[in-house]
Amino acid sequence: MATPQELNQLVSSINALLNLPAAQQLLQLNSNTCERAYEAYVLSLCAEAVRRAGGTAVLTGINSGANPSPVVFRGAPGSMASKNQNFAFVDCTLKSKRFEIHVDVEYQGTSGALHEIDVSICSKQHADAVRTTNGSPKASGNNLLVALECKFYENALGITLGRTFVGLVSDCSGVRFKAFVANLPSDKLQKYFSKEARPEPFLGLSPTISDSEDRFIFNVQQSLLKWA
Amino acid sequence: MTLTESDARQLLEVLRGRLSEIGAREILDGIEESRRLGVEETLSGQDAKELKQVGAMRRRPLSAVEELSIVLSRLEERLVVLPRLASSTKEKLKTDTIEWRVDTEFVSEDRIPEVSIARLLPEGNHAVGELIAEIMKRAGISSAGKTE
Repeated sequence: MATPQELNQLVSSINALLNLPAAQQLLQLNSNTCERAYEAYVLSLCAEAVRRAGGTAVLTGINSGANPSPVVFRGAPGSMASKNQNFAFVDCTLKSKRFEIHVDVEYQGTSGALHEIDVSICSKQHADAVRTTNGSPKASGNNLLVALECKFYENALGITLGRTFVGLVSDCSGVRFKAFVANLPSDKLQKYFSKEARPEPFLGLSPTISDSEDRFIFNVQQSLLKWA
Repeated sequence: MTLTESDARQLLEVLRGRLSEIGAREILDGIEESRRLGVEETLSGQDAKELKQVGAMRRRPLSAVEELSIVLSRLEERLVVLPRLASSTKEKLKTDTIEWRVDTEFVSEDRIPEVSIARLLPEGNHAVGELIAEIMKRAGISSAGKTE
């Protein structure tokens, strides 16, 4: 049991924390910003996987080309072909293969429905065709190589999003690596994804847990090497 | 220090009040959502045997100590993990300037305004990390969100 002094000290520390301008600024961010930041983080890990596999990964703006400044990512899901902003993707080569890493792009599933994929890897040839025609990328054939659902959880993890992602990937074909990625661990979700053919879970992927990053990067790297 | 249910309730009241003053509406909503989900647990072996016809999982409400643990862990995600992942992204992508913008044909900028990664890295965020680590240690809560 805590003494009244110990409890008062805790209350003082909580007040001191929440009086810090940096804490207030972070607490006032909306969850959409946190989600987008987490997706960009996962994209950066995918780029790292390409480099560790011996390939190249160059940030590219749809309008400006290689190494844009600033780097602009989508604040909401949208079209891969949109040139309304200088949206960035990562242009990659690995052995003889060329492909791109995108965030928040809509793909057309095998049913014809459009689906938002948080982080995706698409063949370069197909992405070029999408930009030329102003169409949508297809989540079939050899076009969509990697599909990742990313979630920065700030409350208890329910399985709703996991269930939705299972439905999404069932409308895609030919995807070589599909995974559900979240910042927090969850036994519930781990169990849900343990069934055969479900996406691989990476629960607790965070820069504060270096092993988790290495495990994720290694899996993406191996899957790309197998394909290339 | 071991917190009783009454201690934890007192601290939760302080935290909720301060978060509300700051305008951390979405954090408070997240806490409510966690309360709503409660804790899922498996019935003990004997109970499950007796109740063969039904599922062995059940949901119960959070205790105040469990709720405090969740609240502090979520604050840690927002105050420590978020800046760390912003730094890591900048480092791995080898760029200092990252922005999120919307396709204005579909989404109004009023609804999702342009945000720079600098917002996720406010000056003094290291002091924030140290302070929350100290609070969690004193309250006997580990970073994984479990009481020690």
